[in-house]
Amino acid sequence: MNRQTLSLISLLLMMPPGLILVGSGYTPAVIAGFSEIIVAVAAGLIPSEKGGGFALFFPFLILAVAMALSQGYLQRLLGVSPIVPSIYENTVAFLMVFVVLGIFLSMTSGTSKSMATSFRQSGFDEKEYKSALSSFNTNATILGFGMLFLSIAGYIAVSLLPELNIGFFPAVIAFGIVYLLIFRAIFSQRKQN
Amino acid sequence: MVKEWSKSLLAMILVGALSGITAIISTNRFLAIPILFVAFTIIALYSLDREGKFSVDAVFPTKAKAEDTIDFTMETVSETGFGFHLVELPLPEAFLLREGSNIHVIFKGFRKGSWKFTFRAAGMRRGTFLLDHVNYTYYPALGVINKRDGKLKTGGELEILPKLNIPKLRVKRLTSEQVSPKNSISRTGPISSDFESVREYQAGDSYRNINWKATARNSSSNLMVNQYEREGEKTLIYLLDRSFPMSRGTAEENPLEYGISFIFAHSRALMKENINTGFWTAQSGRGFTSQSVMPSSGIENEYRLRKALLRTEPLASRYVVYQVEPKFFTIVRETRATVLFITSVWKENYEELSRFIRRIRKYSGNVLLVNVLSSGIIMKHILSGMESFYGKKTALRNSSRFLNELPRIRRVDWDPVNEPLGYLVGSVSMVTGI
Repeated sequence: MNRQTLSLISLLLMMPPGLILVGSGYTPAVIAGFSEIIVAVAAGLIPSEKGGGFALFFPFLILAVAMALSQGYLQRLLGVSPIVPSIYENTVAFLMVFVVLGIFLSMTSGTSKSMATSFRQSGFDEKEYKSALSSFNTNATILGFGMLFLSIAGYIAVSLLPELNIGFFPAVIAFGIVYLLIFRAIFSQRKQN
Repeated sequence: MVKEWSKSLLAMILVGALSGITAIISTNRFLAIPILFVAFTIIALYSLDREGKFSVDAVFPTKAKAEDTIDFTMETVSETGFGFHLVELPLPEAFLLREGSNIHVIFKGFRKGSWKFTFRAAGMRRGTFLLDHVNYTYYPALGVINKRDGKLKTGGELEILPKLNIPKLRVKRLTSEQVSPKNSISRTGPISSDFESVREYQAGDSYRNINWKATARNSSSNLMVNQYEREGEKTLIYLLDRSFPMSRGTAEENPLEYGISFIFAHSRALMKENINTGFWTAQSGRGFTSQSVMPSSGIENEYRLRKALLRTEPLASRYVVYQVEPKFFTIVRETRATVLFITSVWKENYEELSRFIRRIRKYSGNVLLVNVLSSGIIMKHILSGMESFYGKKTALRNSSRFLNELPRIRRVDWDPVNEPLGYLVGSVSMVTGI
């Protein structure tokens, strides 16, 4: 799989939540949807070495802010009108995982691009390094989609099986602890290296 | 690569954390999916991002001729890790890539993989080259661990022999200008099975050579032993100069390389003529090892001579001092050897050469100087195709002032660009009678 295809897939994955918001016809949702789409396209155009990797974070941030201001504690506390219409809240929340997958694939594409430059400058055979990068892109895509299905399956399992249903807040706290442990393990390993 | 993925990792962690915060604030259960996704992805990448287990096997012939195309194969197997492997079979400077590349890049994904690469290269000059390792670099995809590089032991030595046509063996002996005994007894060659005489036992003699009948007949009752003739009628020693004037020209074409080609061809031509051949380099110098081969005959001696010639390298210093180990002079005197001194007379070495020639002549009256003319080689590279106009006479005229300073000695001048190797072999045989 070449880098261009990968970039296109990642961009397409980031579109659905924005399109749903635009399609809702509700002005705040349309603004949020357009913003998400424009930022996603713009972030995709910024080279990764010029901060494109971090720019990809913003479409997700827009959706996260829109969701936080549409339901739950903050919306009730501030008393603002919801950005996402209530009938689309669950759909947008569900589709946000596709945006995360899009970020992951876009970062893969950025890495692939920088590696291609490095290999070209080092004088490697073009056919050979393109084949290696294609293999890298394919493996990363398989990994991304595999993890997407696994996370959806995991969510369904936790929701459907009563014995696994530990409640929303305990689950989020448990994941928070897992995150901290992973974060710590990774950075301690990087420090050792 | 590592930097890129470190950023990616950080961004992924941020996305996961933001999902968690949004999930808590908005109380939307579906936002647990992005948290799960990020967690699973990081765990997957973290478990894949291990030290790459990698092996390489480089296959190539152990011998080849200069300028001949050699096929190289690199077989690589990667068992663990998730990232890019860069492999390189480093080729010495004297090698020229003809097809393919000696540097390769591969990506190791989820499954164990094996790759086979082939490329073709040619050794442009003779020598023994050590191709005993492959350089590799491993770029882990995630960047949790840093890139790794190192060397993997594989392959071995590759001998590049000079490209030359060995002159045909002579059927008849040439009439020599040199008056020398035809059958002077060699004292260094390997012992043959031809009986020579019976003599008294000396310490070190093999007990298998004891002649019991002769011992019984001997009135003094001392042990008597059979003495056998040594192989090789005559002894010829090649003395090769490797001082600075021998490097005039290019790395592939210079008097030293032509001199080595001559020794290869001449010694091969003499191999079946029962002549002991030895080899010394005329300048050891400080910090340099001298190559030498004791005079002997047969296949084994040819192998030793070949090894020594392939390992002989020129000296870079312009300061010329001729030194040979004392053993050389002892051997020359004891075997009454003919010494073929292969050199290239030029301004840097003619004074020292005169002194050294006088010294050798104290030990052997049979010294022949083979003067490899370097001017033609240089002209060949400056004015390609015009070298024939710059003939031997011009080259000799240019170096005449140095040649005239040398002591009176038999000399063969060779212009390797315009005269074939066979010409020199013939000329040397005419002069030495070997």
